[in-house]
Amino acid sequence: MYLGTDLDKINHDELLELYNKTKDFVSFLDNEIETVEVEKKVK
Amino acid sequence: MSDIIDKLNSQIDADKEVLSVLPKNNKKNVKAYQDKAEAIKQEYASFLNDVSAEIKRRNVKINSISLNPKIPELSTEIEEMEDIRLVDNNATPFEKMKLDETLYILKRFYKNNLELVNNSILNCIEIFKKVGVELEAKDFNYSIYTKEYMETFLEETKKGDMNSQKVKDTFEQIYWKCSDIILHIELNFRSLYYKNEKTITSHFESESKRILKQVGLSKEEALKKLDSMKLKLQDLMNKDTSLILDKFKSGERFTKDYEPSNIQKYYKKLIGCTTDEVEKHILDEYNQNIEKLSYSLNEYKNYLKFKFIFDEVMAIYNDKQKYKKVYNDKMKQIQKLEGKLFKGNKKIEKYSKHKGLISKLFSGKNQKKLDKINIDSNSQILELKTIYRELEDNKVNNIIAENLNEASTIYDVLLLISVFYSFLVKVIIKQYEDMDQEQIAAMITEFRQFVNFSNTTVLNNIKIAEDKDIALVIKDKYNLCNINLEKGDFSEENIENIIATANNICEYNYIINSRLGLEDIKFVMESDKILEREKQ
Repeated sequence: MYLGTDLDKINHDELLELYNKTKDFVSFLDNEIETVEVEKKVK
Repeated sequence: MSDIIDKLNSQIDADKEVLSVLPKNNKKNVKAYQDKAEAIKQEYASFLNDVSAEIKRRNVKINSISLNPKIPELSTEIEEMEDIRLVDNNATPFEKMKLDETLYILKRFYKNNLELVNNSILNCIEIFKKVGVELEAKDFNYSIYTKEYMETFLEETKKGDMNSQKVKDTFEQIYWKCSDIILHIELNFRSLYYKNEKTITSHFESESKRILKQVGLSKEEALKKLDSMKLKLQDLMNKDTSLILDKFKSGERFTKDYEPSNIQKYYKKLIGCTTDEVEKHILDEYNQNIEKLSYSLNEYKNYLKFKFIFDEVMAIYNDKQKYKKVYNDKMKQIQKLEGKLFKGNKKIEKYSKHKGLISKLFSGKNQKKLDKINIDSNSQILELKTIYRELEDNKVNNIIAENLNEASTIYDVLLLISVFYSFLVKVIIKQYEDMDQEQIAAMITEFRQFVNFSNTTVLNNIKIAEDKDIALVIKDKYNLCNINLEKGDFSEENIENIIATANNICEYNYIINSRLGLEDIKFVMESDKILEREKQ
C-alpha cells in the first residue's frame, strides 16, 4: 500500500498515527472475519 | 490533519465501503466476504509491517546515541585528582583514613549483625595497613576479651573466613562474659590510632607531597584545577544527548514540562516576555543569566536543607572560649587511664599463665585478686568510653574554634565540617530522630556532594559575621540582570516553583541544542512502548 509519501519522509507524529490507525483497522478486520465465521456456522 | 493521514483515512473508508456492500445472506456470500476481508487485511498488515519497521529504525537510531566519551574520561581524571583532598588541612589523619566512618559502624554495633561488625573490624585493620600500620593480635590488648576474640578473628581471617563457626563460637562465649566486647574493640582501635598517630600523620604528609608532585601544581592550583574540571564535567553532562534522553526514559523528567507553550510561560515569569519578543543576542544573555540563577537557586535550596548543620557549627563557634585546652586535658586523662588498664591487663595475663601453680600455692586468694583486676579493667574501659566520646566531640569543637573567624564565609563553615563524619551523624540524628543508618549515610553523601560541587557563588561570598538575608542577596543580584524575582519567590511554598521554572528553561535549551528535539524524545517514549508490546 502506498499513500503517496515514503515513510522515511514523514514526521514522528504522522508515523505513530499511521501505526495506530492501521493497527486499529487490522483489528477491526480480524474481528469482522471472526464474526462472519460465527454467522456462517449458524447458517 | 496531514496529507498522508487523510489518505489513509480515505483508503480505510473506501475499503470499509467495499465490505459493507458485499452480501452475507448465505454461506457462499459469507465465504466471499471473508475472502475479501482477508485480502484487505493482508494488505494493511503488510503496510503495518512497513510502518513498524520504520518506527524501529528511528527508535534504534535515537536510542543508539551514546554518551559523550569525554564524560567518562573526565570523570576518571577527576576521581584520580580527588586524592588532592588528602592535602586538605581541615581533616585530621583520623578522618583522612576514614576511621571515623568505619568505627561508627562498630559504635552502633547493636543495630548490625556479627558479620557486619566483623566486616568493619577487617576494614579498620586494612585502613591501618594502608597508612603503614600492620596490626597483629598482640595489639588488641585493651582487655583479655579483645585479645581472645581478635586472636581467633585474625587466625580465621588468615584462613579465608572471618565469619567462620569458630569466630561465631568464640564471640558467643566471650559475649556472655563481657557484653561490652565490641565497645572494647572499638576503643582499642581508637587507642591504636593515637599510639600510631605520628606514623599515620607522616604517611599523609608524604602522600600529600607525592600527589602534588604528581600533578605538578601547588595545593591551591590543584584544587582550582579540580574545581574547573568538575564544572566542565557538569556542563558536559547537562548538555549530553544520551543523558538528557535517559532522564525522560527513567521518569525523572516529563515532556509536557518542556512544551513550547509552557516554556514561554516560564520565560514570561522570569524576563517578562516570550522569546520571540526579544532579539537573539539579548535572549542569549538572558539564557546565560537564567543558567546562573538556576545554580544559585539550587545552592540556596541546599543551604536551606543543610542549615541545621551550619547552625550547629555556629553555636559551637559562638561558644568557642569553652573548648580551648579541653582536648589536651582529655588526651592526658586517656593516657593515664590506659596506662593503668594495660598494667592491670598484664597482671591478668601473668596470673592466667600460672593459674594452676598459683591456685595450688595460694588457693582462692589470688583468684579473688584476679577477679578484682578484671572488674577494675571493665570499669576503666567504661570510663575511657566516656572520655573518648568527649574527646571526639571536643576535637571537632576545637577545630571549629581554631579554624573559623569573622572573615570565614558560610561556605568555609560547611566545607570545614563536611569532613567530620561522626559530627555529621550526631547532628543529623539530633535533627531527624527517626532516620536509620542508611538514610543518615545517604544524607552525609548528599551534603558532601553539595559542599564539594565547585560552582558555589553565593555562600562563598557571605561572611558568617555579616548576617545577610541570602534570599535577598540572590534576588537583588538577578534583578540587576533584568530577571524578575520577588521576595515571595523564595518563601518555603514557592521556592520549588521558581527553581523548576529556571531549571526547565535551562534544560529546554540543553534539549534544543542537543542532537535531539522534544519531538524525538516524545517519539522514543511512545515507540519504546509499541516495540515492547510487539515483542510480547
